[in-house]
Amino acid sequence: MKEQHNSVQKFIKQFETFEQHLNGRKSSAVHRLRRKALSDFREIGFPGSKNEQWRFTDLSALLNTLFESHHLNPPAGLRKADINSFTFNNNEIQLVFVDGFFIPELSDREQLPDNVVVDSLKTVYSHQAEPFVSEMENDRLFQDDSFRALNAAFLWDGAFIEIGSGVELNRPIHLLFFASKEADGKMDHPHNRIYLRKGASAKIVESFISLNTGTHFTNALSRVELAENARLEHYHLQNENLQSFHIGNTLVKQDRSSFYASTSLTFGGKLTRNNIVTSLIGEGAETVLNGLYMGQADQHIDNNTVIRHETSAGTSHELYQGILMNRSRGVFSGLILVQPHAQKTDARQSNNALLLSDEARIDSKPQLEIYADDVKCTHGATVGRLDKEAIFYLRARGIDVQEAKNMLTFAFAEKVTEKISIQPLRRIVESLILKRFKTIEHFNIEM
Amino acid sequence: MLEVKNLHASIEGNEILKGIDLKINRGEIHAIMGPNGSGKSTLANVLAGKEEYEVTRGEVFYNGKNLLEMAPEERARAGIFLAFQYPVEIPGVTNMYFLKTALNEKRKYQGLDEIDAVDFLALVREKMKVVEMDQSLLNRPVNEGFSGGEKKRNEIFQMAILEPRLGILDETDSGLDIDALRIVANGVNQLHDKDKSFLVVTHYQRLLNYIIPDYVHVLYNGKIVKSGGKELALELEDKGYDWLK
Repeated sequence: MKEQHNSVQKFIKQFETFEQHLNGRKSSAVHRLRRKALSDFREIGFPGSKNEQWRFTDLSALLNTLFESHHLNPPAGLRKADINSFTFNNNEIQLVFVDGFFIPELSDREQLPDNVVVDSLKTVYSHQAEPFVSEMENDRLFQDDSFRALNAAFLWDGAFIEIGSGVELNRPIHLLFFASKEADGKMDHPHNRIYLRKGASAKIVESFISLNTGTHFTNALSRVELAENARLEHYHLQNENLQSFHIGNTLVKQDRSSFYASTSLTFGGKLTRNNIVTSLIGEGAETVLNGLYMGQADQHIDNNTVIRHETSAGTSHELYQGILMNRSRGVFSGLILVQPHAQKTDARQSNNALLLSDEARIDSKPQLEIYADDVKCTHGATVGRLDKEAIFYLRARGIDVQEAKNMLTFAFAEKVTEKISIQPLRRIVESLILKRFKTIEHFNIEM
Repeated sequence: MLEVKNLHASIEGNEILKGIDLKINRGEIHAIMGPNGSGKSTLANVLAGKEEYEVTRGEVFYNGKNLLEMAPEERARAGIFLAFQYPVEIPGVTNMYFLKTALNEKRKYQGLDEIDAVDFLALVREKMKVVEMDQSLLNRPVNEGFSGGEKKRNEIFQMAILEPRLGILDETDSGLDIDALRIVANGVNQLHDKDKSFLVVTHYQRLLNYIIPDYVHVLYNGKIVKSGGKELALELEDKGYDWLK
């Protein structure tokens, strides 16, 4: 409890430093919001070990580290050549953030169609704080969650995306969040707001990348709203360094007949927690949550998803595939909530983990809470090792034992990667998988 | 080419093979027959290197090399091919990719360059005809959703691509109708030449109407209890196995 209190105090102290650097902007509406969030955070504190939502994830390594808030000076020196390998290099719309700052020179917003806004959130709220502030206040995003409260308290920048009614955006929007070489010991709280109006469709990719090797903390939040018939493919690729901490919150509201597909791809981070909450508030909405995570060394990767079927005829499909090597640890908690009015709901959940070493571990907690009677809900979980018979079959055709294991592991991951509709992203992800095969500490050579 | 001497093997402490002696020369076709549980499949799997089986006594030489010291993949590259009784489904790995990888492993072992895409495709087209294989199966994951007959044909198709020096057929005829049986046998016969040998493990005589063996061995309770020419198979068909016990 004492430690808890100290950690909370550390963050509050950082907030004070952050606040001092804001100078004249302290009286703005946005800053009043930050202060409100901070006081919520002070009240909530950090989740303790008894908190059911955090039962399998020990936050003490994160809470015992002191992270400084933004230095309020944009980092200099990053050039396009430094980030090219992380981009898709064709015609995507691109926003680049480095250590929390939007970098227009590295971004690309050429030829945006009419009725499409892709901008830095800070630009948007500095210009006009409403309706952003009242939305945040009404949204109650941070009243009951420490990390969301912290995100709002340290609110600085992120992406603001609005796709107007009926606009079908063909080019993907790529948001890149870099931790630069100066990010050691720093924290960043990117905040993205994504709105798709009636019948709009888009693909948005968020990439989180460390260019440093030291410890840093990313506490990201994305708020997504899909109006009637809107369609969004939303990708998260996290490949931060193995000393870093990453908390991600994705909160989605779906209106009638909208379609939301999330693909969560976690490769990096010492400790990662991804929360996705989707609320199907309009009839006939469809949610797809796909996830692939790959742990090595001492990585801890926790995926927590909540699908709220609030009204009738909603569909949700969820598939998480985890590959755990060495001493890495995975957690999957997936709640499907079907409210009394949500008749004719069709919800399917599947999470599978492949343990490639004896020390790897997965804790898996599927949860169905169903208050309607005319619904179809299924869930399934598997934990396993590579199929020995399949390995022998491949070896009996002359394929090296390690190559055989890699082929089978790759195929396991492909259940998710094959659903990536942006080909350059798929190639990046596949090369991250292949790279892991070469850097494995020990890949369970014994059968 | 293959010399098995006093081979004993067990699985989970149960001795299955209790002293097998077998010599196969280049170009010969040998059939191993026997009732269920006699050890036929064990012999096939031990020769391919399945690690669940423990060889407790005896020796196996393959072209003068100690086969038992070779990993399964080394055996395959050196020309041993096991057509599985129950081919494994491998979701996510396409037949084409799998075959190309396997072929290139073998070529690497032989000191050859990787096969280029055009040549590989030509080879695949040619060999598909041998087993009358449907093209649509090539781009599907290995054996996934294949019918029993398609799986067995896929084994012979792989064998045709990899051109082993010793092909071991583990009850390839089981579960096949007469047309599929003919196709599979025809595939083997097309591959057979003076340098390639086959060990055909089967429960029934009918496969041997199509693949004519030079020698027939009867395996019973882990031992070869009788050997003879192709006429022995007919005798077994007539009398069953009981008279040999």
